[in-house]
Amino acid sequence: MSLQSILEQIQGSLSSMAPTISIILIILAGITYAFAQMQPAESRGKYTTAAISMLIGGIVIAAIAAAAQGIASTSQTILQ
Amino acid sequence: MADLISGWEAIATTAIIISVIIAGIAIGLGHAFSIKRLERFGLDEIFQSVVNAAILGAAIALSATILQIGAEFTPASAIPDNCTINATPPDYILCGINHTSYSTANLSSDLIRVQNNIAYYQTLDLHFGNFSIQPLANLNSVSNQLSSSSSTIHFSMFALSLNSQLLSFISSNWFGVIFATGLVLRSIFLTRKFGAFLIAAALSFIIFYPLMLMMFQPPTVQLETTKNITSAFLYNSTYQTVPIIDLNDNAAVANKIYNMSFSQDQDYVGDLTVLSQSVTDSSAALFFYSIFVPIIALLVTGALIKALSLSFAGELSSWVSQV
Repeated sequence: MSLQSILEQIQGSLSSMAPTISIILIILAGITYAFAQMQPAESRGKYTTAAISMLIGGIVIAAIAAAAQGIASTSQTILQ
Repeated sequence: MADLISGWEAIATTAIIISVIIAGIAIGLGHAFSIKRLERFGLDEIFQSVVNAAILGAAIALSATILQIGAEFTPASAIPDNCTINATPPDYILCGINHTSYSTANLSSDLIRVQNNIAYYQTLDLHFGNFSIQPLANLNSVSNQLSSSSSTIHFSMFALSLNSQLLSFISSNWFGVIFATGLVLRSIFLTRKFGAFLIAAALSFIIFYPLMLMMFQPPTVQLETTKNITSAFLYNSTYQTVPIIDLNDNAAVANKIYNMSFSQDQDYVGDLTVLSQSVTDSSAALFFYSIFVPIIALLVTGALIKALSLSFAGELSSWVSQV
């Protein structure tokens, strides 16, 4: 097995893992947000913030994983 | 360069993509669970990936530019035209070195023939009954001088051959492998410094070492001038050896020596002086090009590897972070 194919396998695994993590985080964000709504007003804010952080984290992972190829190819032209 | 890392460019690009995805996951998880260290690690990895990709892109672009700069510094007469066709910097300079080596070998062969000619005339006797004379015995000093130059030329050919071997190794795919391996290792934070060193070593040897050699002119012009002088000397019919049948004829030998030395157009000793001066010039230029220049180039390359390693390992990425 060549080095290229090993690296492509790792890239493939990570590329399929990233959306899964992203979706898990978004679902967790939803659950946390729902949980926050069930909490009394004084502790609701803390859970809501955590839910929004998870949502943003999920979106960031999805965005960066989707744009990874573009980031790599665009960055190659920076010093040209 | 492009040729050297073709095939490996894909590997390096894949390593960079992997690094970007890992960084993205780290940023996302760090933000999601408010782990600042993980988020900062992810951001740093993203910057490092951008730097890695920029190094890869720059290396390919830099190669063509460096070759052009080198060609501007090198006079057209110094390196044959066919050296520039599809050449990487090491190939280009290797072609020039091989050309110089070929010219040196030709000159060396001529020098041996000139020394044979001198050896012949310096031992030539004229017999006059009770005594005999050797009118050209003092050519021994010229012969010694040419022997010394000949030794220098042979030593220079040895050094040229060593440099040629080194450049052949650099031209081979191994340095492309080292460059790509460096990029892969630089993508992993644990081996970042070693990866930076490998990238610096590959770039310095593929680009800067040949460039340093290109900055100095090969002694092609001096070698050609000396070759023309030696050829004119060797093909001068007046300086050809006396036929064996005439060697016992004092008058024939004396007439020969008179014609080579005192006739209006021919001056054997004068031509030899011009020839030995030209050989000395050529051997000095060749010695400088084949021994001093590679040593200077290697020292500069070593310093560059150290500077580039530091830059690729830390300074460049901190600069990108600031931008």
